[in-house]
Amino acid sequence: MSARGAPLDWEAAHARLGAVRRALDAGGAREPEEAARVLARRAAALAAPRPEAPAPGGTLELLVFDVARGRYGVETGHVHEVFALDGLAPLPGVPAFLRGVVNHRGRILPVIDLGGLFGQAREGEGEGARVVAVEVGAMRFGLAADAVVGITPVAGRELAPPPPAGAEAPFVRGVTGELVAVLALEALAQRIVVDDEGGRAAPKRGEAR
Amino acid sequence: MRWTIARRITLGYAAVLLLLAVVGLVATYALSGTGTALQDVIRREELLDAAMEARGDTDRAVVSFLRYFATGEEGFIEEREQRVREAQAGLARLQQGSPDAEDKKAWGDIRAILDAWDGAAKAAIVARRAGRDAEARRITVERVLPARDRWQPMIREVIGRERARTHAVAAAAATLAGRTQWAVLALGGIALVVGILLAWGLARSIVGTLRTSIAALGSASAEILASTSQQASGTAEEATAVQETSATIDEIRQTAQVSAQKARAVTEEAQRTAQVSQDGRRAVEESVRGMQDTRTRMETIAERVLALSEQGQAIGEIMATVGELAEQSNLLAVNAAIEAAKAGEAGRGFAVVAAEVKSLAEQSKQATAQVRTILNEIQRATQAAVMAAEQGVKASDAGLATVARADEAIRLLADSLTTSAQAAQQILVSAQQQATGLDQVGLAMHNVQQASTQNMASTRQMERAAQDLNELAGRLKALVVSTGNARG
Repeated sequence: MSARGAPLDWEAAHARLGAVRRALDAGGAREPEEAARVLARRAAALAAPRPEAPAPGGTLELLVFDVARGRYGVETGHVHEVFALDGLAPLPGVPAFLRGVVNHRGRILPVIDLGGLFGQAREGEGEGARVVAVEVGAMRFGLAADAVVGITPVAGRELAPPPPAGAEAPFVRGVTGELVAVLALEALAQRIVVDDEGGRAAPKRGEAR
Repeated sequence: MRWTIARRITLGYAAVLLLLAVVGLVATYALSGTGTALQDVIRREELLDAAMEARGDTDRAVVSFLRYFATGEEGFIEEREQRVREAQAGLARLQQGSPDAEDKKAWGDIRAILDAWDGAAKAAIVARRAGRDAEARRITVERVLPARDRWQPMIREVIGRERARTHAVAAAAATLAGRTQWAVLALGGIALVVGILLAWGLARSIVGTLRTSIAALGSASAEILASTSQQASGTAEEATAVQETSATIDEIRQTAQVSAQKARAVTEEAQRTAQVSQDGRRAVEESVRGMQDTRTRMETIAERVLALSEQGQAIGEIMATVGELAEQSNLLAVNAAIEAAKAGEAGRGFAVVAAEVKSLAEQSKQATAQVRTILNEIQRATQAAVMAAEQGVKASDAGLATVARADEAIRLLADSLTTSAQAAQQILVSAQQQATGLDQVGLAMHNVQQASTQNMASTRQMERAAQDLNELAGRLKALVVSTGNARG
């Protein structure tokens, strides 16, 4: 709206209204040149020759996701499904990193908060929170994720060992060039199981903080 | 009974005149008697003359007869007859004109004797002619001459008697004249004495009255003179005052005219202002309508904006659905990619599609986020627009109230202007009436001025008359005093 005192330029207003009407009449689509440009870019992207896959043995397919300020990766072979975090039921008397349980397709899955586990403050639950359901052996559990980045192939030799000092060190297999921490799911599963068996896991509480 | 001077003088003169009239009457009576006597005397003298003439004629007839007889000439016969006719005529006149019966009879007898003489004479003449002289002589001696001797003494007697009568009449007239003279003298003397006495008495009484009257006249004329002088000065002052009043009335009239002009100007101005206030009220009504229209339009705008906002809310819900769809698409793409990765080399192409789907889902999500942001902005804008419309409505309400107050103020102003116009109209009318009245007053003052001028002139005349009167009184006084001194 124009400022008080300055008269509204009605011709300009009518021109703007006309422009809006024309745009709506055009079906809300972009301008033809813009649309053509986008389509050309996508076509080029699709038509580009894909780089040949690296050596078969040393390639890891990682599902990369973000939790708090960290970025983590999980081998796609262990990933069962990714679904939206919904209907989370918190459990009483469990460690802080165990957010609770969800009912997914009839199965009760515990959901682990990696941030809580690694001593990082949780920054609220944003829109589009995910649960990455993983399977380790016969055990299936969910990892709470703020956002799923995507699937990235990583060469096995590119993995660097994790920094020895840090709370996440026991649960990380290595760090990729893009600073994605590849999780060691077996360690995580063991931790949950240990906690399950060890009851309170009181000594771990300080670690959890 | 009061005797006025005029009546006294009139009566005095009347008495004297009465006496004089008596004298005149007496004298007239005497004169008329004398005149009658004189006429009688004259007539008798004429008769005497006629008688003498008749005697002469008879004598001449006798002489002519005798001459014929003596001479025998025929001419004397003719002459005798002529004389006889004349004598007969004269005797007839005498018998006719004689006043006394005795004389008439005497003259008749004489005529008869003459006729007898004539017959005898004719007979004697006839005899003479015939030559009978004796007969002629006898006739003459016996008849002619005795006849003559008879009439002559008769005529003498008549004449003597007449003369005696004439003398008697003259003597009586003389006697009357003498008595009349004495009577006139006596009456004239009486009139003189009475006139002198009346004059003396009148003079005495009139002079006394006149003296006091003249004294009173003198003092009165002096007073009149004094008061007339005062009146003259007063009239002069009055004229001055009248002039000043006229000048003042002129000034007042001019003032009235000025006030009338002012009132007229005020009236016209008031009418113009009333027109202006009418225009103002119309303008106010139009602005009221305009503001109400604006208010309605603003409410319409607010309703439309609210409808837009609700539609934006619907869009937001739709966009939430779209965002959810994008989310699910995203998850679907992720899971598809995972499945593709699990499939290994066989799922590599599918992995690309899944990555593309994921990209599209993310773009959709970003687009929904943008739409949400835009919707939020639209929401804020609509809120601001509604608030602005509300403020506008409130402002127009306040403006309406203000305009209503302005309308009321204009109406009051128009009412007071109408009152003022009426008052000015009344002032104009009264000023015109005042001007008319002042004109009349000016006219009246003009008349008063003229009257005052005339008054002044007449006062001066009166003053002069009073002075004259005063002088006259003085002169009269002097006259009367000297007369009275001379009299008394």
